Amino acid sequence: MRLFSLLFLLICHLLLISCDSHRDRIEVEQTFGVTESTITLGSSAALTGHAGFLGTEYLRGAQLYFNEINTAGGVHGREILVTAYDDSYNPVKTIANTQRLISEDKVFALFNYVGTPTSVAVKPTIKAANIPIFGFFTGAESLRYPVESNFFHLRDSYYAEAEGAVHYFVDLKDLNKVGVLYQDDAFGLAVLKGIQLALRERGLEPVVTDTYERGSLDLGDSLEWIFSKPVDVVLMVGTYEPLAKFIKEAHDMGQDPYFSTVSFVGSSAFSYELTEVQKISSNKYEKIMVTQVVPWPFSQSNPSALEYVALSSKYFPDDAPNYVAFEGFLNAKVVVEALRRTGSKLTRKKFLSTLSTIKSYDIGIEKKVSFSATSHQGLKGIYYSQLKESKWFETFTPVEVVE
Amino acid sequence: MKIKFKLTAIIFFLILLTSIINYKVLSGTVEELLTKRLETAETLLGQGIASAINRLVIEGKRDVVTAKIFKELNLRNEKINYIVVTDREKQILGHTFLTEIPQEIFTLRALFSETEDYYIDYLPDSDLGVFDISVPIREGIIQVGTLHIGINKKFILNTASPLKDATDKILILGVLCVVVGGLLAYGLSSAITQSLVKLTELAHEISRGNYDEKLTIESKDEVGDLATSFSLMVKNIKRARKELEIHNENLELLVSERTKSLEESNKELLISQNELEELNEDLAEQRKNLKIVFSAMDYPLYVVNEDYTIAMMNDTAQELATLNKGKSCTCYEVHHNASTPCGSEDNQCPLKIVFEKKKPVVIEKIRLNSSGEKRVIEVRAYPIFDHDGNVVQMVEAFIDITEQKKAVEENLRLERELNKAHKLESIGTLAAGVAHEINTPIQFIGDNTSFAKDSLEDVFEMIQGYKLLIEKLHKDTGVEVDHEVKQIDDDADYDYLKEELPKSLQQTLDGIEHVSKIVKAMKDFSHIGSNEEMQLEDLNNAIETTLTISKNEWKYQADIKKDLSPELPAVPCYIGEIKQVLLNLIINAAHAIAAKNETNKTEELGTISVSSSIDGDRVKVGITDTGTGIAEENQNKLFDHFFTTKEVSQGTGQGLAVAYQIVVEKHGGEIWFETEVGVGTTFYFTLKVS
Repeated sequence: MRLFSLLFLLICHLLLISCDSHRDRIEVEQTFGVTESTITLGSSAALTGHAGFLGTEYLRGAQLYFNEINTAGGVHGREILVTAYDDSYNPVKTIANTQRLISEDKVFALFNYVGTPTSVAVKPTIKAANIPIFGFFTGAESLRYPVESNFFHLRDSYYAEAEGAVHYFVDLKDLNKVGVLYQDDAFGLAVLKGIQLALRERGLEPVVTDTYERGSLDLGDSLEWIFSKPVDVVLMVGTYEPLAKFIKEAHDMGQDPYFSTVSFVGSSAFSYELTEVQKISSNKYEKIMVTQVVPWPFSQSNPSALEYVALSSKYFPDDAPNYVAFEGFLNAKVVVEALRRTGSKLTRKKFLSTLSTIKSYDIGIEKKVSFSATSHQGLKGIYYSQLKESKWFETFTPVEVVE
Repeated sequence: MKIKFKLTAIIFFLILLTSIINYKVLSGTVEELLTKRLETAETLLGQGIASAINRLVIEGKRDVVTAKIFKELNLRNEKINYIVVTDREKQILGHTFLTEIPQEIFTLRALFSETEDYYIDYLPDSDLGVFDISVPIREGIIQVGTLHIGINKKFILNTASPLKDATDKILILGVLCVVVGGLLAYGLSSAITQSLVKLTELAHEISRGNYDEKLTIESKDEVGDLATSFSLMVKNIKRARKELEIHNENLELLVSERTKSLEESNKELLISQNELEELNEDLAEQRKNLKIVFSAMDYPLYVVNEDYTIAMMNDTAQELATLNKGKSCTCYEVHHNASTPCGSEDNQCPLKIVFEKKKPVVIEKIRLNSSGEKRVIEVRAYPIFDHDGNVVQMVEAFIDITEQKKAVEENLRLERELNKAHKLESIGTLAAGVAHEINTPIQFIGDNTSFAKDSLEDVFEMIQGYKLLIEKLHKDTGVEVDHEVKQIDDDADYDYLKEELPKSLQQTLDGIEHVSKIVKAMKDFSHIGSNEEMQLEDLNNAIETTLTISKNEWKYQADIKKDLSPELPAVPCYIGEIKQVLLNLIINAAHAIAAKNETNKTEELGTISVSSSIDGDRVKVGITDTGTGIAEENQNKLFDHFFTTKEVSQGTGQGLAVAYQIVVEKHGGEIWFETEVGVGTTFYFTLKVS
């Protein structure tokens, strides 16, 4: 008996010792991607393919701000470099690119990722590496909640965009028959859920829904199915090419509902596709809408918009200013501010804790950027934009219809 | 029961128990395995199919749905019994039954909340024998239909068959173990108990006195050891018995010897007892004496041990003890009626100090006696030493020194009063002397200045006369002197002199008047103290008179309100002096109202209320104004000589000091005030009726 209790004590003791040694292990944080004169950020985005416009512009918007900062001497004497790989909006490539950025290139942080299926697929990899990532060209809810310590967003979510669109059509315009056409993947599903939630709040459901395959341009079946029911509004989730084609064919069928889609469509590519490729008649323009998460880049009242347009013509004179690049530009602004506040002794850990303490930071648009422990999304609220004679999606302030 | 049966039963039971537990655990694992399988693999299968057909369900494509589910069924023929798809209205969209749909299907779970992903049901009915897995078909967050997939129980059981076999084997092995183990246990315990039986027989023999029986156990285990020890024990008992017999014989001799010596000791003892009794008597005598001495003290006296228990106390203390607690035995219980020893900062325990310092101590304590009065108690404590100089006990006396204390304090107070009186007296004498010395010169300075002022007017009139004459002369004779006259005027600055000289003299006179006022006040003050007899006087009358006399002082400042008691008795006093007090107080009241008007820049009429009343054996007079009130920092200086808040020309700083002198020191009355800044002040004084 005594022998047993002795043995038991011994085992307990050994366990305790092993726990202690675990606790005593000192965490050494290595600083990757930072040298005396440079900070390297990594990005994986669609630079080619049917979403290629988005990735290219998203990164260019950021690049022109970094160029300006680097010319002025960088942040605490360090130039900001961006290593970017093309994933063509293909989740498998996104994972491979990200692994390469983390373990081979050893970048300081990740930056400006594009797309829902891509970002959602790579989330576990980034979470496990605990590397900071700032800025996603997606509003997917699953990237926002639950809050991960190393994930930071600037733009508001798809749920907010869906809620905004539903509010506009149902509450303000009193249009209750809502159809939904969505891309058959995580992106489509993410926005669909937002739309369903927003409608449910108002005691409604979509009257009709349909999906189409990502990248497909054959939307004949969907057209038929969607318009087999009377619809006032078609909320669309997808990329610019198929959506523009869908609108054109709907018009050709004699259907004239409102069409609305979310910011991911890439408004300038979408407007080009609608006006120049599909040649939609201009008297139908006003019934095509895009919800935006950043303001109109040509706005004269926002200092950041003015700055962006000026820098864009300086560094990329061939590119027309657009919402996507402007969002990329704003992302870069917040990253630079966070780097500046972190100070010259830069580590990933310090950078993350600095980011989460940013409160009411003015980035030169009317809204202020704030982060907290429970919300890693910097901006709140959306904007409405409408296709105009100028062939631009210009923002407008919706007014309630009084009968 | 015999040990061998007990042992066998225990071992048998243990083996049986182990086998049953093994069997139970294993068959439980089989169940768990089945449930897990259903919850994971089969549910996933259902969810996979559900998400593959959700568009078909939404679009109501019955034929495609049916084709798809048949394809699934055929792929997994052994496992899947049936697949049923219903739409959101619970209408069947497709199924795989070849004949009629069994009724149970319609009772299955069809609606799911957003957080539920599946539901498993068991349909035990003979034909089916399936687990039904229901899975919601969803688009986004909206459920558009339900998929039921029936999994054959037989198939599921098959997947767990190796484990099931193992369970059966364990059961058989268990039974085998029970049988073999039982037999072995029986054999073993028989072998052990056999030797024990032999030992028992031997023990019986010994108890009958037979020590010659031999033991024949030769095993080398613990039973063998026991047998050897037993033999040794038998040998020792034999030897011991022999020694005992020899010893018995010796014992009788020894007893008779001891008896003799005991008798001798008894005798010696008797003698010493007598001596002891004598000593005891002495001791009792001493104790009695001590008690008498002790009880002669009229204050509580204790002898206290280090642990606070009382070793001794006198009669006074005894009374106190019975008063407090009855039969208590510690000093703090008896004397303070407390449950713990004293020891706070202001309630020190003399016992501790005495034991610590080894010196007598005296401590003062404040106690409430039985009637609740505060008493000052002097505690005197003295150490009692043993031969080695250590403190062993303490004598403690409680002496009530309240009266002595009071007497000492009274003496101190009287001394202070006397000092104050002396001071006042010397100031008075000084003031009288100074007043007298100043008074005479002031008198003639005043008279001479008056004279100069009056004369000056005559001189100016005279000069005016001359001027008229000169003018007349000029008119009559035409002699030109006008110019020279003007020159003389200008040189002397005549017009200025005529204007200013009388004024300056008047100012001088005012100054002199003020000085003589102060001097007179000082004289009055020094005269207070005359020793004429007091007369019985009517105070109401005095108040009326004083108000009339002082009308000029208050009529522009205030209305008077009177509240005079008609029953006021006559009061013995020096009425002239009391009138002086009244006058001073009324003038002060008027001034206070004026001062308030000045600070507020208003010209309102205030109110001075004068009251008289009977207050016990005294008459009380109150004079209330609605003036400025008295600032707090001035309140305690109010009755000091030369203290004034008024402008230099207005007050002498003597009024209230004189009032105090008259009321308090001369008449043995009281004077005080109540005031509130900005609201007003009331002065009261009282005089004794007899």
